[in-house]
Amino acid sequence: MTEGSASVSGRDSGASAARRTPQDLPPWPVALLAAVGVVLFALPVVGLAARTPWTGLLTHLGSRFVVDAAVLSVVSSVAAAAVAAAVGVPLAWVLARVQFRGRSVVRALVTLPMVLPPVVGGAALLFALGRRGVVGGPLHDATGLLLPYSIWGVILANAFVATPLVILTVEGALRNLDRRYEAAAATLGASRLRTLWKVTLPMIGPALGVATVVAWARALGEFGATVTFAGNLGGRTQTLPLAVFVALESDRDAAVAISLVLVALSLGLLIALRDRWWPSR
Amino acid sequence: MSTDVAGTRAGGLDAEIRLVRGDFEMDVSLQVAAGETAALLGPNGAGKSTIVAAIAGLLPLGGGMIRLGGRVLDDPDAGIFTAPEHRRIGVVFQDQVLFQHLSALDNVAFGLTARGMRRSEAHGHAQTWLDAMDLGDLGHRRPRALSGGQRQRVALARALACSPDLLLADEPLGSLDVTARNRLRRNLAAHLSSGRNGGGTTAPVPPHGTPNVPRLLITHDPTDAFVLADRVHILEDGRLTQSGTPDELRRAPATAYAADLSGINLVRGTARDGEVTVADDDGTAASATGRRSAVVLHAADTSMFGAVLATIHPRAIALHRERPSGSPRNIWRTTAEAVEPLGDITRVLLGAPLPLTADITPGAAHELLIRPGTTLWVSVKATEVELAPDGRD
Amino acid sequence: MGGCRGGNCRDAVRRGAALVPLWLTALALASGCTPARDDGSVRADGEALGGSLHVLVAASLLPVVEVLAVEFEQDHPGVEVLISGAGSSALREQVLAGAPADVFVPADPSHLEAIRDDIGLSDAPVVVARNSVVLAVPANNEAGVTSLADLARPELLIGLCAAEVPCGALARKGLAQAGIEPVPDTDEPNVRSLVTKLAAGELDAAVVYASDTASMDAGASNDGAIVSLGWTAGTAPQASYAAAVLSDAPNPVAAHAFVAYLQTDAARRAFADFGLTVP
Repeated sequence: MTEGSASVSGRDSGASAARRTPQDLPPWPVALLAAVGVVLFALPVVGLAARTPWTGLLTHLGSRFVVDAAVLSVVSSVAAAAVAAAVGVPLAWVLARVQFRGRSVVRALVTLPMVLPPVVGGAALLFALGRRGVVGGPLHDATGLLLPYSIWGVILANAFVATPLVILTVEGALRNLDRRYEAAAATLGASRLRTLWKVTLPMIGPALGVATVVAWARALGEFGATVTFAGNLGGRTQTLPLAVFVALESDRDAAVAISLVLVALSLGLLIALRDRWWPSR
Repeated sequence: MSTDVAGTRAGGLDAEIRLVRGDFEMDVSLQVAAGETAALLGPNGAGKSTIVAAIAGLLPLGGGMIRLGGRVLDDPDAGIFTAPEHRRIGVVFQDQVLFQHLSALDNVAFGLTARGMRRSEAHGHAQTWLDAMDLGDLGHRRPRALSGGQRQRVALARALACSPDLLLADEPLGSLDVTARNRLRRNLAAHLSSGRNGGGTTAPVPPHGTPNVPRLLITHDPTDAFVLADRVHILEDGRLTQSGTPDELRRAPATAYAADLSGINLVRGTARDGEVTVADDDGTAASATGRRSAVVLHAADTSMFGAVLATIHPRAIALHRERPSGSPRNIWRTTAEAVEPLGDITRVLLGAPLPLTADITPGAAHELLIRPGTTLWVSVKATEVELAPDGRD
Repeated sequence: MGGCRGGNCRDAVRRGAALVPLWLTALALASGCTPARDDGSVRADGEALGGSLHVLVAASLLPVVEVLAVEFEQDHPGVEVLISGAGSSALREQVLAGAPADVFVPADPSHLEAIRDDIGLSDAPVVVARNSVVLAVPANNEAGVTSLADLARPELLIGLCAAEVPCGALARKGLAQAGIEPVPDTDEPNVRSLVTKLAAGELDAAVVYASDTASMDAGASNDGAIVSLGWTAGTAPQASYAAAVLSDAPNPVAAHAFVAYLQTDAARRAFADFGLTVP
C-alpha cells in the first residue's frame, strides 16, 4: 500500500508541475454552471458600481454619519465574531461529544437564528432582554443595565445571528476529527482541558478560522435583528447596513456609496483571509 | 526473561478484560511481567484494538479488572476507573497518530510538559530521545515532512519519553514499507529488549529502553511477534486461544490460525549479495549432518548484508519425489521427519540440512506418499525468501 | 404570498413576517404582502371589472387599505386586489424599476412627482386621507409623560422615526415649530418598528401616526397597547395620502374604480375608524 501510493504521488508531482492534466479541467456542464454562479454573484456588485456616484464619492464617504457607522460596524462585528467563537465552540463541543437527552432539541434551538427571520430574532431578543423583557426586566431593575439602544445591544444581536454558523461549522469539524488524537494526548498525561487547548482546537483551527470569518461577515451585514433589538441612532447603534437602509429613503447616492464601503470592506477581508485559511494548493 | 508468574511480580500488567460491544464479546485474561515483551497476535477483527483501548483507559471494562504494578486501573465491581491521563501507559498508536500541528520535537515533549515539566527542560529531554532514534536533526519537522519510518520512531520516542509504567504498541510496524519495517523492527528490538541487557535503572534513559517495564506489542504479523516478543498470546474472536513462548507455539499450535501463523519458517543467517549462509543454533555456520558445507539460501533481495532473518512461508515450500526441473534457485534433498494432518492442510516437518515446516494440501500429501522418513526434494523460489535484518544480535 | 409579485418581497423584514404569521400582529413590522382574499375566486363573466389590481400603499396606510380592498372585491367579484405595503420611497423605487403597479398611494405626494416625470400619471393625484403625528406612550405610561416637552428628557427612552422617512420628517418639523429639541434613543427606519418598541414598553414615548395609536387601541388588551396623547403644541403636522393611477397601469379600469372607491363615504368612514382624517 505504502509503496504504491508513494510512487503515485511521485508521478503526480512531476506531471502537475509541468502541465495541466485533464483532471484539472472541469467537464463543460460544471464549467457552465460555475460560470452562471460567478455571474450571479458578480452582477449585483457591477450594478452597485454602475450606480455609484464616483465624483461625489469621497464627500459621501467622509460624512460624519458614514464614518460613525463604519467604525461601529467594524467594532461590533469583530466583537460579535469573538463572542460567537467564545460561545459557539464550547456549544459545538458539547453537541458533538456529549450524548444527552434532548440534544437534538438543543441543536435545533441554537441553530434557530439561521432559519428565523432576523427581525423576529431581534424582536424575541427584545422581549427577553429588553427593559420590560422576561430576563431584561429584572436585570434592569437590579443593575440599571439596558442592552437595547446601546453598542452592547448591537453586539448581542449580531452574535445572536452569527453564532449558529460557528456552531454548525465547528461541530462538523469536531465530528470529523479523528478521536485518536485526543486519546493519544490523554495517554500522554494531558488533562481534558489541556487536550482541548493543545490538540483539539489547533487541529480544528482551519474550520474554526473559517467559521469565525463567516460569523464576522454575517455580523457585518446584519440588519433585521440589530434594528429591532438595538434600534437605530447615528453614532450609537447605527451600523452600515442600517445607515444604507435609512439613506435609501432620502439620498440614494449616499446609500449606494455606503453599500460600496460595505462591499469593499467585506471583499477585502474575505480575500485577505482566504489565503490564510483555505491554503491554495 | 519470561516468567510463569507474570503480572504477579511488582510492576507487571495483570488484566482481566471482559467487554461486550454489540455482537462482539471479549473475555481475555492477560499477564505481562515487568521487563517482559509480550505480543498479542491475532487476525483482523479478533479484538486487538479493543484490548488496547481497554488497557489505555479509552474504553471502560464491562467486567474484570486491570492492574498495573500496585495500581488498580479499572475495576467495575469496585467502582474504580483511572482516566487515561493518569494511567502512565505509553501508547504507540497504529498509524502513529502524531500531532500534525506540532513539530517532531514538540510531539515528543508533549507528554513531559503535560506532566508539568518546564518547556525548555522537556525540549532537552525530547531532543535526547530524538538523538537516540537517529532523528536528532529532524526535530523541527512536522510529521507530514517525515517518512513513515521516521514518524514511527517519533511515535515510539513520544510514548517512551515520559517513563511509562507500561508500553503498549499497536501495530507499530503496520503501515510501513518493507525497508522501513526492517529498520524499525531492529530499532524496536533494541528498545524492547533492554531487560536482557541487565538494565537496572528505573527511568528509561535513552537509548537503553524500558528495562523494568512490561511491554505489550499488538500485531497481526507473526514475524513481529516471534522476533520481538518473549511471550506470544494468540487472540481469536475475543478469546485468548493460546499463550506461550514463540518456540512453544511453533511446536504445538492449538488452533488452525495458530498453526497457520506458527508454521512461518524463520531462519537466521548472514546475507551477502542475495545469498544467505544459514547459522546453526550456536550462531556458527551450520553443518548439515554428514556434510561440512554450510547451507546457503538464495534470496531475490540483494540489498541486505550481515545478520539477517530469512522468512519462508510454509505454503511457499514445494515438495517433490523427484528432483524438480525449472527455475527455483533453492533446491535440496531432505527427509520428512513428521507428517501432521491439520484440517485443510497437511504439515510436513522437514529434517536436515535445514529444518523447515511445509504446508501442503492433504491431496498432495497422499499423492507424494509422504511418511516419516520419506526422502523428498524441496524447492523454494528466491522471491519467497524474505529477508529482514536480525534485530536480536 | 399571492400578492408578492414584482420583487416586492425581497426584503427579509416582510418575508419573515409572512413566514411566521404568529408574529405578524405582535410585531406589526411587516408592512406586508398580503393577498386581500384567500379564496381568490375570479369571476370575469357578467362584470365590467376583472383581473388583478396592483395597489402600492404607504406602510402606515396598509391596515385600512387591506380592509377596503376586501370590500372592494366584494363589490367587484372579478377583481383580485394585490396590496404591497412598504416605505413610500421604497415603493417609488420599485415602481421606477418597473414593478407592476396600477394605483400608488404614498405617504407624501412628493413621491408621485418622480413617477409623473418618469412614467406618467393618468390623472392628477387625489388626497384620500390625512394622518396626524401624535405623541404616544405605552398604555400604562409608567414614565408619566404628559406633553411633547417630555421628549427632551434625557432619562427617558425616546423614539422617533428617522428623519429620512415621512413620519420622522413630520415629527421633527412639528417639534422644531414647538421649540422642542428631542433626545431620541433610536431613529427607527420605519414607523412600524417604532410602534413595536413602544408597545413592548421598551420606549417611554414616541411620535407616531394617529392611525397607529388607533389600530393599537383596537387591540383592547392593556399589555402591548399604546395610547395617543395627541399633539400638545399647536397644530399637528399631517401626512397626506394622495392616490394616483399610473399611465402604464396594467388594469386601468379597475384602478380608476378603486381610486373612486377610496373617496366614497364608506371608505371615508373606514379611514376615520383607523384614526385618519379625511378631506
